[in-house]
Amino acid sequence: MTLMLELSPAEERELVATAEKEGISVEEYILRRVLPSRSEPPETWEQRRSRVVAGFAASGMTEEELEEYAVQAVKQVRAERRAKEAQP
Amino acid sequence: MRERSSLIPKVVLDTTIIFAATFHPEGVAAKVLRLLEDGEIAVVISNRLRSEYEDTVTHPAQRVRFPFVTEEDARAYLNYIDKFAERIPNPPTHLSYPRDFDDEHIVNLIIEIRADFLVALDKDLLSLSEFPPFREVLPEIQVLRPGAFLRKMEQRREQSHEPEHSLEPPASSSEPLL
Repeated sequence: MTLMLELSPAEERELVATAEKEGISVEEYILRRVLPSRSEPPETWEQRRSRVVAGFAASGMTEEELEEYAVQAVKQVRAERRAKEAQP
Repeated sequence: MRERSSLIPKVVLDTTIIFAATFHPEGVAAKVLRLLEDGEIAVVISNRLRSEYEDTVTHPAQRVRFPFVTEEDARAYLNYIDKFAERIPNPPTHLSYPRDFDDEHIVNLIIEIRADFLVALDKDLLSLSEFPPFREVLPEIQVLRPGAFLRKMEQRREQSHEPEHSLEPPASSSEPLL
């Protein structure tokens, strides 16, 4: 079975770029989107955790810096909440 | 949420702890959350505090600062906490906290549940016990950074493993020598 799709140049560029970003061919990208059997299994809790662990290690941030940032992040959210509540 | 024994310490976690654990799953704050999963501590969260957790870890600024954690990751971690923590309605105002009105809801949650521990990173909250009206209401509470809290829990574990008779003098000590 052969399928043909008519895409505009902009759509084609978007499709190629998206497939490249995922490291797969355009054909494979489309098949994965269309066929549930071709799609990747959902990430497990451990896989998700490992990805975040690796991401934090690669960020170069220290635990002390994260803790300081956490305090500032909470202050920012509280300031935004106060500003929202003060609105008429 | 699991059933809790009265011997398990009741703990309130400041939002900074949830934040640090979300973005650094091997960090000291995440280790505190693992005690919750293992049933060694009981964490109590009010609706207001849960909402603050969510607003902070899913804030758009975090997607830029921590691109390796998606909003879905952050929500999944909150759902994981929800599985083990006890959620209660927002408590009434037991105590006004003029030093920082933003912390007032946490102060009142602590009083409402008569928490044994508050774990926090924020300096203002860490000095909460120096606030006399609070000290009067809850003199026993310990306010600790996560590292100190983990050490405290380690000590409790060691004490609970010590044989009971070691706390009392040997039976033979009161008996005649001959």
